[in-house]
Amino acid sequence: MDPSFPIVRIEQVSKYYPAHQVKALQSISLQIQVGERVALVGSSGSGKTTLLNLIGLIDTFDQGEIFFEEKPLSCLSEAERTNLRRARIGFIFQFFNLLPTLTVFENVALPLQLNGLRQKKQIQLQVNDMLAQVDLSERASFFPHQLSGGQMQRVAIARALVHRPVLVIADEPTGNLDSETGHEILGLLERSCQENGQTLVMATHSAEATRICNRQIRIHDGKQAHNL
Amino acid sequence: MSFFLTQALVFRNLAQNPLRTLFTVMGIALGVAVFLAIQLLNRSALAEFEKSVTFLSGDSNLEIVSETGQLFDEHILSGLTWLWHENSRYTPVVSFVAALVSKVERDEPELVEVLGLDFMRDTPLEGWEFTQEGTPKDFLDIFKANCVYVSEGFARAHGIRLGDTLPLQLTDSQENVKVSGIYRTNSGTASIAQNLILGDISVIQDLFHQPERINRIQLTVPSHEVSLFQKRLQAQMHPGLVVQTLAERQKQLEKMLASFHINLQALSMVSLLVGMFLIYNTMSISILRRRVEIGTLRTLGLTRGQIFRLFLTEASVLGIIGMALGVALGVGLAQGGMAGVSKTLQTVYGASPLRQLDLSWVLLSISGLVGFLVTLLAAFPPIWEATQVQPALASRPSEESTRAQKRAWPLLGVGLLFLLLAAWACTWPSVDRIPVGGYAAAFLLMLGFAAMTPFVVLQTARLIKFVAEQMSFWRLQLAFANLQRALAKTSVAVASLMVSVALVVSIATMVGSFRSTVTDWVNQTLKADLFIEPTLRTYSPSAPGLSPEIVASIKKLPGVEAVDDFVERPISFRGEPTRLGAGNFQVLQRYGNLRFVGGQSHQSVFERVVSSPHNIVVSESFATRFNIRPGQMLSLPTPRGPLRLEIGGVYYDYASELGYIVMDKALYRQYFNDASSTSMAVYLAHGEEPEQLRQRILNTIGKTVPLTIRQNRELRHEVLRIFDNTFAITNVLLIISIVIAALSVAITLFTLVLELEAHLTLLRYLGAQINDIRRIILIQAGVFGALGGTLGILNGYFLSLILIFIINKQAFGWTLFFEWSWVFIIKLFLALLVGSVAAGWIPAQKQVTLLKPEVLRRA
Repeated sequence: MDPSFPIVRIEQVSKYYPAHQVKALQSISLQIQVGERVALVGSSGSGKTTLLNLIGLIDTFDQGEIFFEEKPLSCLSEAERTNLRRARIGFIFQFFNLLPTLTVFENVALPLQLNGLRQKKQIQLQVNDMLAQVDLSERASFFPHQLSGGQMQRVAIARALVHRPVLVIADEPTGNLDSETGHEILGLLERSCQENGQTLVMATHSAEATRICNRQIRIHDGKQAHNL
Repeated sequence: MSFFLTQALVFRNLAQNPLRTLFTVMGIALGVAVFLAIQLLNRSALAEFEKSVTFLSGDSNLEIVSETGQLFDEHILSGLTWLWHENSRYTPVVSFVAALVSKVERDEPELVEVLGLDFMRDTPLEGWEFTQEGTPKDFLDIFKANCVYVSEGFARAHGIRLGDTLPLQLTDSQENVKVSGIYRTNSGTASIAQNLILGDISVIQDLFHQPERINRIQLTVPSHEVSLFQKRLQAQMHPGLVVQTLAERQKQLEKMLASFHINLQALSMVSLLVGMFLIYNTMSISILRRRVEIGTLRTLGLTRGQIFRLFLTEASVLGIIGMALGVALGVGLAQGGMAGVSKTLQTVYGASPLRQLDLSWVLLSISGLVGFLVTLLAAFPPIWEATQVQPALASRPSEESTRAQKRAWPLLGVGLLFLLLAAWACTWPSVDRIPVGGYAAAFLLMLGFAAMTPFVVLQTARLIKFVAEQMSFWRLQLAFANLQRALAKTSVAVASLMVSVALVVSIATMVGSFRSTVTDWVNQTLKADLFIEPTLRTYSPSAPGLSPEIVASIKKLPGVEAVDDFVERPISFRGEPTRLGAGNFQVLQRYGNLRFVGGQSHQSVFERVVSSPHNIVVSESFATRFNIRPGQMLSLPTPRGPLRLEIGGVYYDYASELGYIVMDKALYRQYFNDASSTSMAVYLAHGEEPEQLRQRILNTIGKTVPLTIRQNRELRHEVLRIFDNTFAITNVLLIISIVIAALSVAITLFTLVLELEAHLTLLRYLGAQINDIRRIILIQAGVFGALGGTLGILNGYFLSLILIFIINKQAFGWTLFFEWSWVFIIKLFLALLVGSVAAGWIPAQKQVTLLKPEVLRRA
């Protein structure tokens, strides 16, 4: 991917929730370049998470167009979107969303397996490397309920990055953590994205979180307020 | 999907929820077990008959029998000699039922079938030989008076050796027979051989005082010309004799048992249906609980197909374990129920006793497969639901509640549509006496009520929550808010309970209405003071009746005012098995009190019937089966040729679903050349004591002829005892269905409490007392019971109407009078409330004892 091209290009995108009669996003247009770290900020209910879901290909829009690596998403089938998401995007959630029946190692290994990696040694190598990066090598065989909040989020980061996605989506990654742990997590995210040249798009309320980003996009009542 | 993922996401999930896994597997296993047990019993009963036909017929492929079920004259054999020149052969057979004398005094005598064969020429038996110790010293002994062969099993069971004497109780005398040979049969031979005594035909005819009379002639004709020979032989037969293939005989029995088997089949379907709801319930709850997990998996790149396969694997694992356990349990259940079913088949239908199950691998596999497919079918809707989970849901877990609430209205519409379809299905006619419309209506009614359940739960929760808010009952308010919040799970569980309650209510109401109808019928129609029948007939309808001499001597006894000596026998009418009865119409007119369809009085019908010699009455089930109305004519086969009869009236009768044609005894004697009686109704002179007369009969005639004499109230009691025995298996199946339903409720309560763990823990942190939490959980549990119970009772009411007025009427031809027992309903409702609260007690205890901070992270 040529770094001069945007990884995500959004043109006049709107999203409605007819059931709730809510216009979640109205005529949003923006571009995100490869390697950028972008923070989506705004008050609760402003539409940050909706925009994040659209960028992350886990929700659909009603108007406009989104280009992912210059591919128009409206032309993709559900299965094609799933394949693209699986290979090119990593997700980090506010509530960690680890799979409770899988160990730390297995949670991290999951994206590799979903992407078709079958060699056990290769999986072990990549997962152990990732766990070492998030300093959780000794917790590899633990289940999520045996971990602290910070440890769970580190596992989630490892899972999001292990398959080397081009885009990392993070929804309030520190929203559920104390400030010290949050600081540690943000450092980890920044370092990982820098080292791997990954693009980060993060919805956040945290001022500290915005500091690791190159750019902030403020969303207000479903509209793009301005770039900071 | 890799094995690792399947193992991690499916097997571990099952292992980490052991209670849910256990209950689901038990539910599937019980459903499969009941289904298999019924199949095994039905199949074994028919296989037993098939094997006995094979054993008794050898290589015969045709038989000549009486259409009226009577013995016939063996002189007909002289007209069959032409068969010898056509590469064919034939052999006469006579058979009687007797009892071992030493066993007659027991509660239930041991019956034996005594078979007379032509040992001089050809015995048709297949695969038998003498044992080493039982080989006759002189093979000509079998032609000597009272000499017989017994089976090896029978000899072993009774300690009999070659040359021993065996006392037999015949209908009206006792005779000693000498064992001159002991035979064994091949493995796989019918268990009929166990209690089969063989003798030469003339010896057995003499033993039973029926010289030159036979039951059937078995013929072996060239196999490629069976139908040609059948036609030729039929052309030379006297009226009342029929030439049939063995397959036709088998079909007759299948027709006779059809209603009994279909009834059991329907009950086994009920168990599967309840099991299906349990599977649907547990799979739905499993998927609803894991929506966020599914959303995460979808976000990480799992396709819909992969999600589908994941949960399909989970359902399959549950199905396979449940299937394996169910098959083992089903065989055990069938073994346990064999004695009861065998007795019903023997006493009610006169079928062969059932001594062993026909455990074919095909049947076991089919039953297991049915259970497995039912599991997948029940699991399909929730699995499909799982594939529709949007990845975005991973960050919006509250979506589930909103979706469920929005669906309540459309589901109400779907439910009402199902109810309309059910009403339409009620108008369908039966197909071959199978009430297809009735079964369809019952199923649609269930689905209709299940679809309306979310709406009812939602509106009830809203209403009570509103009232609780107004009255500041915060615990009630929270309990109902929780139910409303978890509407999807709550509705599935309430629907599950509703289905089970509906089945319990409807089957109990049907059985209760039936019992009450039979009680009324017995009280109104049984008017005689004493009822007499040969003891052997109490246990086998094929045992012979009383001789005219015995009947005459009882009529002459002092104190006897009138006797209705009744004879009944199985006959074939329009190719279908039914029963023919004959009684003394003048006595019946004066003393009887039958209830007639259409409201005609007993007197008015019998005045007409008695005045016209060819007028008869028929039972309601006969009229329904053959679509016959009063005033119509019918043609009955008799040994003297077809007899045209006019239907004088149709009376209510619940003795046999095969139906009765009842004519005057004089007409019967004239056309059937039979003076015997199978039972007698004795009316005493005013002031006579029934007990005294009974003792007088037992001390005189009863000394030589074992008689069962019952007073009026004893017979009524006996009728109800037989009724209860017949429905015993229904009750067992009902209990199993209730167990499955209870499992369903328990799973839901456990899951719901687990779901609300964070919410309830938060309440504890905020200052709610242990008792407050306990009450909230118990209120929720009670609401389950109350809602499931109320909907189930309402559904059960309509279902019982379908059972009584559609299914019963079409399958058995009986009019039952609907009886709704409020006492039973109230007791059931209270039991449900108590049971649900009790089921909520364990999770309530578990929840309130601990304050788990980690749970709050999930809030």
